Amino acid sequence: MEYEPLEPVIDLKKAIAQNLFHTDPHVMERGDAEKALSNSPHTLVGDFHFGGQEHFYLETHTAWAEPGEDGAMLISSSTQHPSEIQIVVARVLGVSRHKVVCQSPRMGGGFGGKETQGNTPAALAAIAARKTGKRVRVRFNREQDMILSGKRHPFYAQFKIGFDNEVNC
Amino acid sequence: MITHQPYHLTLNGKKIQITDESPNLTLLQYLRQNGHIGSKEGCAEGDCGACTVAIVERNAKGEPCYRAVNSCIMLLPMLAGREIITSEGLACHESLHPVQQAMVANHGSQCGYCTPGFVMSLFEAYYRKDLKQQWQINDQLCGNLCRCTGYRPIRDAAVEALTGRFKNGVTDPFAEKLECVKNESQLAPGQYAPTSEQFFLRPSSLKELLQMIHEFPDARLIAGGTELGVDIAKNFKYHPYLISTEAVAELKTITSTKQEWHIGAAATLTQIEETLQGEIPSIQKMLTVFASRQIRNRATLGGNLVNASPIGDMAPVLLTLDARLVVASLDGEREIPIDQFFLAYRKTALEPREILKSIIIPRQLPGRANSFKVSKRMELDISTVAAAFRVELDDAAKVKTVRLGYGGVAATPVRAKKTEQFLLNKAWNRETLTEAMAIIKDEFTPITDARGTADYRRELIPSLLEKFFDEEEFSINHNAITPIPVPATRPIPHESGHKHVAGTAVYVDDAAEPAGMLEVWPVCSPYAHARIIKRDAHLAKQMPDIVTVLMAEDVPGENDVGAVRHDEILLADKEVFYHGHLVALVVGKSQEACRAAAAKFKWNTNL
Repeated sequence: MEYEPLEPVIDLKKAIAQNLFHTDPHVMERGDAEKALSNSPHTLVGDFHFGGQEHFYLETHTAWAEPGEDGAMLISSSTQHPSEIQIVVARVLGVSRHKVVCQSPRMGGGFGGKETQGNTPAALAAIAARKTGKRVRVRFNREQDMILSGKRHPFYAQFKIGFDNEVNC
Repeated sequence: MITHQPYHLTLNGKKIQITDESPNLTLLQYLRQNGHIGSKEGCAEGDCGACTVAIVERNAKGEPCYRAVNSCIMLLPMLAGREIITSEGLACHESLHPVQQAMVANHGSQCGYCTPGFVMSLFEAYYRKDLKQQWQINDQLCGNLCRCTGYRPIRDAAVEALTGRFKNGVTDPFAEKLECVKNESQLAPGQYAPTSEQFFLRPSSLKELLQMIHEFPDARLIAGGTELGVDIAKNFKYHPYLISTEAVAELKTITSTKQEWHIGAAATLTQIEETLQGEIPSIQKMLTVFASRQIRNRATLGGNLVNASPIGDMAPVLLTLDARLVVASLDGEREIPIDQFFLAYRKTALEPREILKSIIIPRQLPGRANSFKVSKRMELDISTVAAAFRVELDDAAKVKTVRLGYGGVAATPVRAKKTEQFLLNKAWNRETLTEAMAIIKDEFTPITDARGTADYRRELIPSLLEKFFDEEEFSINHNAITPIPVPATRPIPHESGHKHVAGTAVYVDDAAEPAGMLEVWPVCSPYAHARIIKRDAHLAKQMPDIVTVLMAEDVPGENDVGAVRHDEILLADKEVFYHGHLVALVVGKSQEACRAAAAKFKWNTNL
């Protein structure tokens, strides 16, 4: 392996300054907030941030795959979202979704950390099982799980509040 | 000359012969690979307790007892001649053990993954005649992590099970078992050498042990294995030559005279706690925050000292008690005062082929003493700074003797001798203390690491001394276990509760591990962001037992696992976007083989 290290952006404020967003803005709105704010006798502006978190499910990410006939694949996954595992495995294998069966017997904890992050071990098991024609187990140990899986990411929020002089209890 | 002797162990009442397993195989690996899937792996370093099993051991009085241990860091040959009980072995026919029943009834399980481990810690507790006080329940369970249920229902289960035990007329096969093995001999010696390049030796006398050390200078000594086991299970280090101290009676015994305790270097911390019974409060206090019950059931005081870690929990305490260390070799024995034992970072005064035989601790030392451990968690944590103090005043209330012991402030556990010197013959009052705090603050130059910054440590050094000045001496809170009223009705139990407690609930890996499927090892980016210049798997593919190596080209469909947007590249080809981004996946017949092959991907940085 040869790498040329590049500058990583691992700070939210830096990412915003460089206009590096993961997705298009997600907007929820009702009424005319700008107008209401400009008509408010008082406004309060501020920001806050909180750090990322590891979900720390006791059972680390695990999946195994068993190849079947005509491109079928059976996946057993410790996931909170079996139907998404089905979709993603079908996508990485390049087969129709009906060829993929995903079962999740039970989980040793998830806490949100197994909603999307189970995709990687399940996809790896499936690709390896397809290539070798054998059953494959992918179980991340604690260190791999911490390194490889995404987390509850950090947040940075800015707010502006408008309010008047009246007390309504 | 070593002759290979297979050994036996008893698992849930069944005798098993071990003939050719690696001496580095852990008990947990053995259990799971052979279909005993009740015990789980959460961390592989003795921190989470999901792997807890019980073994039949001897308490400090030499009576048979059960001990909860972390099977993830216990090497299989340590179990030679021993009896192991797992959560699957507790239920008798269809009826659950009382600790299992209590866990189900009190909703002590939710996801159930930590439950078999908790059950085994409770199992040990159930047969502990010395467990009568409320604080001991928390102490018993502090080596088990639970992430969903929370600890209150589990503690309620403990209280319910423990307050209902020792009822007359109830036959209990596990209590009977302890009676049965009362007269059985102690741990037998053995030589286990499945190949000519590895062995696990268990000598039965000090002389034999010293001869073996002389004959095999490359071998590692192993006592409780709570450090070496982590090195093997977590760091994947291979230790082919091991000599166990466990059957050497001279190293295990704890004796006393009126003036001194003589503690065998291989006596476990639990045995020490049982024998000393709080006689030396600064030791007892440190024991309550020393790792966990499971670790203390295996870890030895000698191991904690020869390890010579700068933050070893007990060293600062023993420094203040003027302990002496008896070391032995084939040439004889000598005594080293503990403040001359730690020479440099992880280096002791032990000569090659010399071992720590026992620790002599003076009894009834005058004055007052205390110990403190500052860590991020109360239990099962490595200290940021540990400190122990002892001060004896003369008739004029001036300092006659003073010992200030610290861990985590220098390359070794150390005494603050400059400050001790200052305090001698001074009046023990606030004014002296203030001056001493100014001196001690500059006596050490601690470092910054994951557990604390140098500045934080520098602040802790004087403030712990102040705490000693202001606080009462430690004493155990002897409150008895408070029974919980049994509710008139109970909610419906968890649908899988009985399976969680019996270790029969099947998780994804429980179906896979015993099935002998192909295994994998990921190759991850060491950079948070980098351009990939070259990827080459051919060295890895040539390694033994490797079936294939997957890279971006091997993905038949789309190389992406993004949940909603397709923006998460599975196997990086041109660029890596996060630390740990997968670049390749080695597939082979064992994790060991895959890991060895993955190591063939060397990082070449084109800079």
